[in-house]
Amino acid sequence: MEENISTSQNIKKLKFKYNAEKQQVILNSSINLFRNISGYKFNAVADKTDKEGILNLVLDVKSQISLLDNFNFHYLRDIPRLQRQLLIDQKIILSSTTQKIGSKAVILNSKFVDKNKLTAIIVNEDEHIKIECQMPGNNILNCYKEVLKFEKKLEKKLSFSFNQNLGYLTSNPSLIGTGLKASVVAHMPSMVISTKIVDFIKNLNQVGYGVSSFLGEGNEIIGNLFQISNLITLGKNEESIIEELIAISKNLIEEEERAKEELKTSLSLSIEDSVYRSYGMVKYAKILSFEESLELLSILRFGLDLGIIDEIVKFDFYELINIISDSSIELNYIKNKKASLDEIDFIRACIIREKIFKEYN
Amino acid sequence: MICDNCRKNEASIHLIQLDSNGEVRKFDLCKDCVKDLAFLSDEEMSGGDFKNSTSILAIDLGFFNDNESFDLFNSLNSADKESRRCQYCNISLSAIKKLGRVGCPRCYEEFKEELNPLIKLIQTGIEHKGKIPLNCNKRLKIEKKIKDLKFMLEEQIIIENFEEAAKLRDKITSLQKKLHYSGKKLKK
Repeated sequence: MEENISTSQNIKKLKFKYNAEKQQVILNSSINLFRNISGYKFNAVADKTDKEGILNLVLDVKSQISLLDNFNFHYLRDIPRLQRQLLIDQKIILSSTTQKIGSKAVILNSKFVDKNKLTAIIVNEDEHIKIECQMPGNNILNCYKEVLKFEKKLEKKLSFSFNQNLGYLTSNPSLIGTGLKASVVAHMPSMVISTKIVDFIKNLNQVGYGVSSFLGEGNEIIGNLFQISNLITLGKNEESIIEELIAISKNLIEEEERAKEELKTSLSLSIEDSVYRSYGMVKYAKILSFEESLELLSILRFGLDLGIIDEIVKFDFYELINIISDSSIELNYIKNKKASLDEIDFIRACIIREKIFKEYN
Repeated sequence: MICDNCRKNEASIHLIQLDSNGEVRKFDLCKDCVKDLAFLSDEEMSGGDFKNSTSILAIDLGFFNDNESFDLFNSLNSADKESRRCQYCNISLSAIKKLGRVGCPRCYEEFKEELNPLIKLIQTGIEHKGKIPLNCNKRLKIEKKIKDLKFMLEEQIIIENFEEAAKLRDKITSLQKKLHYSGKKLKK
């Protein structure tokens, strides 16, 4: 029971420290490392006893690793609904997965000593083990180092499925080899407005990198936010995947800056209009949905960078995104009360005003 | 009535959903599956307000469909009697094709002929170049080292740094000897 209480408190604290002054193209970096334990069937086929076996094995191994002393082991079934939704919104666990939650678990840092990174180990999702690290900003290399640290410790105690030719084995053939998914979230309003983004995405696809919506694959692109991640995991080593993504990030920042400079020199009335229109919406709207907020904030942030508008604070886009998700509002602003969707949208509009208008700061 | 989701338990909760097109979908679910699908905790399930609770509406239908596909696995797997099966985990080739997932590590060996062309298509080649497990056997480690060195050797030759290339070549031959020797020792 005590574990339960700490779970809800623990997960409430999932917040990053931000730096609003720094460049705001790469908003977030994350690394996912997928591993399966040898001797067990993959989770698509495994039955309940197999999965329980894996859970017990990981729980046992966790207690032997001093690096994981500050980490708590939570069964997903014990985590209350809202906290679980927060984990989904923070992209720590998947919302849709072919596995039932009964046998899933997540290992999270209980103290959050370092607010600049979020490390978690997820057990029994699509693969047996997923080691994940997220950091705000352009930090892909640090994320990888962090994940590697945990993988090394786990590898000493566990034997992972491995094949000489195919590398680390996963149930999903698009992850075999390194089992490494590296991704960054980029905010590129200038590239979208100047329509250069289309060619950019095409080029990325050619070198084996995929672009998807910030909200996850298959969703619409909103708020000019793009998630860029590697599609190829076999035939390249880890270092070159990371190096390539770092190079891509650098290129992204340059391209976005260039597009921004071009727009600056030939500022059209319609761009100014859309910035001030968003300003008016944010200022006077009573209710704002999450999707609409992202669109408006994206344009306002763009207006700030372009110097069109100076009535608002230089806010941190990614920080705001995390604060204004439904689950975060319900957890932090509405305590133990069932809120209607309108209420949540109303509070969202208030939070945004509080965060970005000067008179509130 | 049997639960639509797990197809095992008796359904005790019946949902009717109207989507924006006016289409009606009916779901009959058992308590366990509702708990899973609506992300309810034990206390929320057992609490008295469960009947009037709106949390049951939190059932994500996308999620439901995914879960359906999970149980689809069982029906898929038993459907095609003709299809070849993995000796270890009993997954059929047609189920792998439909799920896009394999069942166990040995599937990659069992269905080598079928899977390797596919892997070649979505990845770059079928040769692992990344790190190897810490606790794998020594032989594998040496083989991996040789592979890495050969790769470096090619690089050096391309940039015409023959001095470095010669050093690498010597390293490779000495490692190959070591490998040869340890192989012999194993046979004895």
